[in-house]
Amino acid sequence: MSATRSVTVPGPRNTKRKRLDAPPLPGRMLTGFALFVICLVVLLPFLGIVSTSVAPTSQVNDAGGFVMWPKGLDFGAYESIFAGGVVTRALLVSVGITVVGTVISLFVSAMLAYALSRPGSYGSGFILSLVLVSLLFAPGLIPNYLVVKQFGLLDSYWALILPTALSAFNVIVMRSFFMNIPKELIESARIDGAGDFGVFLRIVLPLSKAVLAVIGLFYAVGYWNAFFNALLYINDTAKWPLQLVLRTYVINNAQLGGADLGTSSDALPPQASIQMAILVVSIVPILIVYPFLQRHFAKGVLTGAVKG
Amino acid sequence: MTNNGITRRTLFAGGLGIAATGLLASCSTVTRSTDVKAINKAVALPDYVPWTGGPEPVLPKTSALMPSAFRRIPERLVPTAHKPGDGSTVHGSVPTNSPVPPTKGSNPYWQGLDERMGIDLDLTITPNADFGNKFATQVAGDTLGDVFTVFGSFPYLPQFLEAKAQNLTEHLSGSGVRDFPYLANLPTASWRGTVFSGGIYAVPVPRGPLTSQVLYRRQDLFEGLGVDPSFSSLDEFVQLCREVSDPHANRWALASVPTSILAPMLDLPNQWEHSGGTLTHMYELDAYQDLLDVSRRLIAEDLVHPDSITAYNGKVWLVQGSALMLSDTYSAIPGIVQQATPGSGFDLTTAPFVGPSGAKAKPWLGDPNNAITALAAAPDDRVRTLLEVLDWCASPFGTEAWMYRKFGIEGRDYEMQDGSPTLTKTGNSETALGEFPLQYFTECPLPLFYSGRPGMTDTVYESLASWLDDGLPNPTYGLYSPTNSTKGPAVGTYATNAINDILLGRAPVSSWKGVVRDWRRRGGDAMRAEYEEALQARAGS
Repeated sequence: MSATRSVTVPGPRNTKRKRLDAPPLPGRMLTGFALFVICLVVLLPFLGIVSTSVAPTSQVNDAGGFVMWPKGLDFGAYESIFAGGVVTRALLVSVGITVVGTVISLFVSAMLAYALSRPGSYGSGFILSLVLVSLLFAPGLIPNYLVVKQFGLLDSYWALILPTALSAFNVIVMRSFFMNIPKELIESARIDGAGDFGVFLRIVLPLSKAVLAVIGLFYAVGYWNAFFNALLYINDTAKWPLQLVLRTYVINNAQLGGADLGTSSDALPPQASIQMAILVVSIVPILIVYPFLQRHFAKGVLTGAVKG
Repeated sequence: MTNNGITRRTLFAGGLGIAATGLLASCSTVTRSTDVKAINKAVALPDYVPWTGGPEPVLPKTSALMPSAFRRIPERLVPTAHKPGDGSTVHGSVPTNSPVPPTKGSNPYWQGLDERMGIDLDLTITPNADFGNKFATQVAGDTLGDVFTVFGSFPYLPQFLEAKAQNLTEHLSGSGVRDFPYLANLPTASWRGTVFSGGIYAVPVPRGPLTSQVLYRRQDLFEGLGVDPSFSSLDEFVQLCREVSDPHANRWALASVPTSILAPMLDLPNQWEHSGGTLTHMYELDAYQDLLDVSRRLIAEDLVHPDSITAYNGKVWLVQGSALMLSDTYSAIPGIVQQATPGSGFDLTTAPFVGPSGAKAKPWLGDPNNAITALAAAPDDRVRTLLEVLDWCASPFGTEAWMYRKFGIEGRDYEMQDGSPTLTKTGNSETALGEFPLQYFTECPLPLFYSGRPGMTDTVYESLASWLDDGLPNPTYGLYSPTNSTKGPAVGTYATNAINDILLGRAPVSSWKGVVRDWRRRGGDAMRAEYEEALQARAGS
């Protein structure tokens, strides 16, 4: 008698398994709708700015100065502001300050943060306290001005970089990030003969691209958007950055003449179109940089923020 | 923190120390005297010696306040006798409402100013909206320069001037000013704004009656709509606004609520009413509540541009045609006309003032000065050189210096068209639209002259002639109230916010009485008492 063996063949897998963790459909629709509205609220003003900057003169005048959708394309405003006048010069100044300032800020912040992140660094506790004090008590307008003046920086581009070169907040975030780097890596480098700068430059910085990208963006946006320091410290108007020009001509409503714009064209675009074109020029560079750094954002900020 | 060796208490004490250092650094030169009588002590004002060496005005002076009227530039300009400067550098700090001009190295017009004045003019130019912040830092850093513009809103102004500015009394008081013939041509009312603590501490930047508000109308647009823009009562004015407003067509009657135009219709005083030695603020009068009521109705009925309170841009709206009427100063005309597209049919007229119930209107007379200009303390000969420079800046219409200041270099900055100078694109930039900020050192009494628009001279002249003798000045102009100096901005903001709440319908008009009670408690009563004391001091000395 032979024993019979029954074999159980598994049935087909249930491929339509219900996702228990997903929120119900109405909830997802509501979330989607809310996000859509928020996007509209953010994007519509920007659409208006871009539309006004490229709309034909007659449409801008008829609409009272602000157009939501252009009936044609007229790039006269952009041609005017890039014709070599005050805006072009200010744009170059802003780019220069942003690039040089960001490099300097990243370098000094990273060095300070690294030193403060290593246990046993001489005086690190006291220096960290000083950094925290500067976070809690801002020195104020006039003491800052006096310091800049005493250092002979008035009317110098350095006045737009050095007073804001180090942000205590950014140092704290970087320090926290550096504290997460395994100490075994650093110790291995030391055994291989690396000094403090060698460890910092060859081990720590290459492992910290995420936080450098994020903090670099913070600094770059800060330098790009800054106008108040230029207002206080720069008397030579040829050295004004773009944001101060923007403030003068958009917020304060001063008029731009043809020669200010560097154009010899007889018919200038409407003032509103030129103002909006300057706005677009001031926003776009930062918008372009943002997507390239976005992938580092979560890692850079979260890792730096959680560990204290 | 404890593992760092710093306790919370130490950290707190350190923070206080840093804050105190900052405060002291900013205030070390300013005393806090509140002796109202001493601060408002009078002094012999400079003699008024009208300049008679220039062209005769084309229209008669109907009032002592009436500016000289001209339709064209005279064929022969009066030459300047000598260069006022000694070749030295003059550092100045000035605001601007116009585009910032190119720097001297790339601005032949500016270089020409140097040549004509005999100085090396070094200007720190700051947009008007930011001038307060810049000025505060310059005061603290002692970087104001030799000549600096000062606005009346600066806190502790008399004490600041005593500490930082040259007392000019011995040079300008009485007949002293006759050494500077163009400064002697500045009206007495303007000099009243330069007197503090019994001394003359500044030179005025005069505007005369052109700081008064008037209602501008787009005559061409009214005609296009077939509407007669005249009115002879408050009700007719509101009805006119209703007739021309059409929000669906992006068109409103008014760029903003025209308070200065409505006030004469309701017989309101210019800020303060002075009667029998006592002062009453317009806020305290029932007529002010009527003003709020009318203003609120204008906004509620969509007769005022919807952005008038949150994002005001009245001149642009008037030029674009989204507002048909604009309340602005007489001195705003060049700025308005300049924005109009040539050949667009743009036609600007002014509305006549209307009094209460058919009575003669008493419009508000604007303050006579835009600002004042002080000189840094210096030896006598330096002070006199700087006053010579200011004298050149005050050279009036009809002089070569005036022509150069306004229009620059012929063929480059301006061209003659039909006998009138017209700024070129280069000129617009180099002269800052004809308003180079040197005009904030000082100016001549503003003439009625609109290059290339002779008809505008007659329009403005007729408007001024209709009311100047009946105009109401602010009785507290030129007086100093310590409370107004320190608490004035905060108290003013409180009142403005309450007014805006009422105008926008967020609070009822009936809430105004409570606001006034609060306004008095917050500083209104103290200001009144100090101004009354100041009026006595000025009258008695």
